[in-house]
Amino acid sequence: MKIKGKPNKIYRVNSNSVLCSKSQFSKLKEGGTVDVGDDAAEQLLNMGVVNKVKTTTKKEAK
Amino acid sequence: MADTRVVPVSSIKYGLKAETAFGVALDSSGADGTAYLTQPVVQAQKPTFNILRESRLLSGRGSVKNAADTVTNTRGGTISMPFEMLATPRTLAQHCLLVGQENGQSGSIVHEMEIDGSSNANSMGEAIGGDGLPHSCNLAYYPGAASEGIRVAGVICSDLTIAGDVAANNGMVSISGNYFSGFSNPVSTSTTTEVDFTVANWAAAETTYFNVLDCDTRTLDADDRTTLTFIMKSFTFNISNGVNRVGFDTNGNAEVYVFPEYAVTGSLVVKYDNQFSYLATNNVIQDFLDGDTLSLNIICGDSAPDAEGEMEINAEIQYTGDPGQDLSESGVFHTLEFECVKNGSTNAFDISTFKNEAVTAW
Repeated sequence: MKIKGKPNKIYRVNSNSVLCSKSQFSKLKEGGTVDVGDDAAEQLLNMGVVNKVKTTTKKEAK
Repeated sequence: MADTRVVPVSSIKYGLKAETAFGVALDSSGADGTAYLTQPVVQAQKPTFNILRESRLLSGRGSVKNAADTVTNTRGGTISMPFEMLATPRTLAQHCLLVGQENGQSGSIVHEMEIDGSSNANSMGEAIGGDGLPHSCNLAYYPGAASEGIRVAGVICSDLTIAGDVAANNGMVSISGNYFSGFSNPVSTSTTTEVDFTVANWAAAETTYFNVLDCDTRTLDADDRTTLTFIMKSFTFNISNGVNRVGFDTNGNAEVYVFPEYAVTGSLVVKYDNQFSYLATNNVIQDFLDGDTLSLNIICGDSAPDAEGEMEINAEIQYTGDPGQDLSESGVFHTLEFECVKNGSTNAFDISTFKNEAVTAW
């Protein structure tokens, strides 16, 4: 699942307690978007420190 | 030979779990497999049984009490236990609920506890509702070894202090207070000792905290002006409900808890500056002399609470003493002691915190 960090919120979270990797967490702290497993995404979404990124699929050109 | 066992302080822990029936053990089937929520304390204090003991020196016994002339009765007593910890999203919301016996939930999920003189329960003792209210807990005290545990039922908070100080705990907000139970008579289906807790089932303590340095919004009225931003050194709120146990069931345990008065007092240390001074229109002393009621708002976070580690406090305060001074190398600060009062339709005190869990999950 793709999620985007909220820099003004996520800095309070202990990086040792999250289910995503250190590098993914660092990117989220900077407000970036990462693709993580559902468990890791749900954990951070429940904490209110990330947003879910809506993904749109391109229609195949006819 | 003496036993060499040592119990490290850190091996002791305790947990809470919301009750589904007032004063009834969640699991009394043998080993207690309840998934208690571990509380993030540094030192877990032991529950204290405050039972009845009568000891008399009867006539004809000579000049020393006789072993046969003492009576102990575990019925009709109370159990208390102090606690102190850094506040976490769940512990702050749950302990506010345990002392205020009130909870409102909105969004996903902001918990609001208000002290307004009408929403807070005057008594509890009936069955716990499907919404987890009124709110009481089983408390599990685990001294680090199987079958040595103490389970206390019917646990609420008699008082709670919420404190934040930029110079203490690295700015992290703490909560402290006392647990209370009127279930002092050990029976297997309620409070009991020598419990074998299945600690593998316990939920780990939370690791997100609140920090005073995150309090982006800090406003208070002063004299003729409203909603002035202050620079804060520290704050304290103390909430007490005056709980008493009443009655006795077939085991001699409480039938009802009564809450005669919810009292909220506190203190605030703010910088002496042009907003809060002794000048006309901004005079904090005049607020005390006039008995003014002032609106206080503190938001820990960058917005109304919508993430863990954020909270908002609103209070209507009246100074209970002449504003004192805190003198330090940082300059002069006002020390404002206050009590919270209901002001028209405005709550005396309310606190909102974010924790995406329903009360029933606690």
